[in-house]
Amino acid sequence: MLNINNYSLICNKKVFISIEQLQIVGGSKVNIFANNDAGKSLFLRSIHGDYHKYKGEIKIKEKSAKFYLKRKKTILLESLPHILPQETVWKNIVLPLPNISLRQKQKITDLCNIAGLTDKIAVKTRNVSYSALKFIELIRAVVQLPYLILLDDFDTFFDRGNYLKALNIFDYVLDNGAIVLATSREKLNSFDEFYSIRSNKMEKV
Amino acid sequence: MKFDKVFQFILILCLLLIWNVFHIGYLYQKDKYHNSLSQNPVLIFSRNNETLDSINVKIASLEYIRKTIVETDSLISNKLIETYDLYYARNILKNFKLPGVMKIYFRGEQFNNQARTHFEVILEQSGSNIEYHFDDSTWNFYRNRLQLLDNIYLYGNLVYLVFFLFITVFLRFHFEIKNDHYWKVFLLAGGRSGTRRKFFLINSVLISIIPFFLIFLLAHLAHFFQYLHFYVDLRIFAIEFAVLIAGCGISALILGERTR
Repeated sequence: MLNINNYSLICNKKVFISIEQLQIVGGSKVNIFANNDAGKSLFLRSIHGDYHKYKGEIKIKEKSAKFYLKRKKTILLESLPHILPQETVWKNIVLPLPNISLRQKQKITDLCNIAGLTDKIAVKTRNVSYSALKFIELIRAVVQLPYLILLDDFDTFFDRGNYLKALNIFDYVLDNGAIVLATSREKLNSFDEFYSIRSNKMEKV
Repeated sequence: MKFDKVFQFILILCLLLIWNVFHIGYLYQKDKYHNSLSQNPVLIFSRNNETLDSINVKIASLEYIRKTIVETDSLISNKLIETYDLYYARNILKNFKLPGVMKIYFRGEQFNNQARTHFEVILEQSGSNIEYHFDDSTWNFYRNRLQLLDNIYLYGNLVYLVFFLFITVFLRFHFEIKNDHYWKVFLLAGGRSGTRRKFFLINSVLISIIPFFLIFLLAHLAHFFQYLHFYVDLRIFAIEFAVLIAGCGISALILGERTR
């Protein structure tokens, strides 16, 4: 589903990451790990369509990144939570959904239950913890069933217990054929495929 | 966001109401001056009743003439006798030939400077055996008042138009900027990119167009049920509508990428 060919990421006229060919099929969890300043965040942003200084082609479901400029099918979650602090947990989760079906409502309730947010559903997000905010973002991304969920510095999101809950939440979107692509400084547990960036080259581990 | 919309809706409704009260006030005052003008007749004296009749025929079809009353000498003498109890002088009055009088009442709204000149030309063409009395001081007083009222209305409207346009643009701009964070989070959360533009258009209808139609409907209903005796010109409503549309357009231009 995700095809990257002859890709090289450029920042300040310097090549950060080069990839000859990368193919990821739907329904898999992929971890890219590398040290700081390796260009992981820019790489995710270039897949998301926010960063354009790269060579080569990125195709999602056989369509180029330009196709997704106005109709995004990827969701990028950065370390800093993007949340409306004056709104409730529920309102933040359903924010991008124009109409919520009963099935979606039920799914959100189930995912909130997994994340331990059930008793905080009506609480304003300014009063909840950082990990709760990240869960809100995760659930919000998952219920939209995007093609790709991109997680930047995923190892900073949760502690061990919450990390497992998050992986559990991803099962819903993975069952629907999406890809979860997470970057981190260290290799993560329980992922399907691993890539590392060494000497500006991305290699499968 | 709901508070923002309600606030803008109420403010625009109030501003439109004030603007229309200004129009109605102008029409009311103008009508008052016109009424005063139309109650102030021109008196034409002539010893020849036929002259008065010919003038009456000439001016009967003129638009600015409301009504004419011709009083002949016998009628005048009878009135004098009745008014001042001059029954003992009836025989003396019979020996005098009193001049006939014609009172001409004008339609205040149509009897302007041009009409007055036209009327005076008719009188001059009617021969030299007439005399007429025109209350110049009253006529000039109301004409000056009307001129002043028109100027106040014109400049008042211009000032209000600019103020209204500024408020409309400022409100939209202020509240859209205030909601920037909301829309940023919305997009980052995976919301559709055209949603903000769609909501901008919906809000334009809710905040600007609906108050306008409410005021428009109110003015027409008030006129229909005769609570309001003045009919605000449709062109005035067209200007108000155009200002609202211009306000939305300018806001969209200033906001640029945010509403595209």
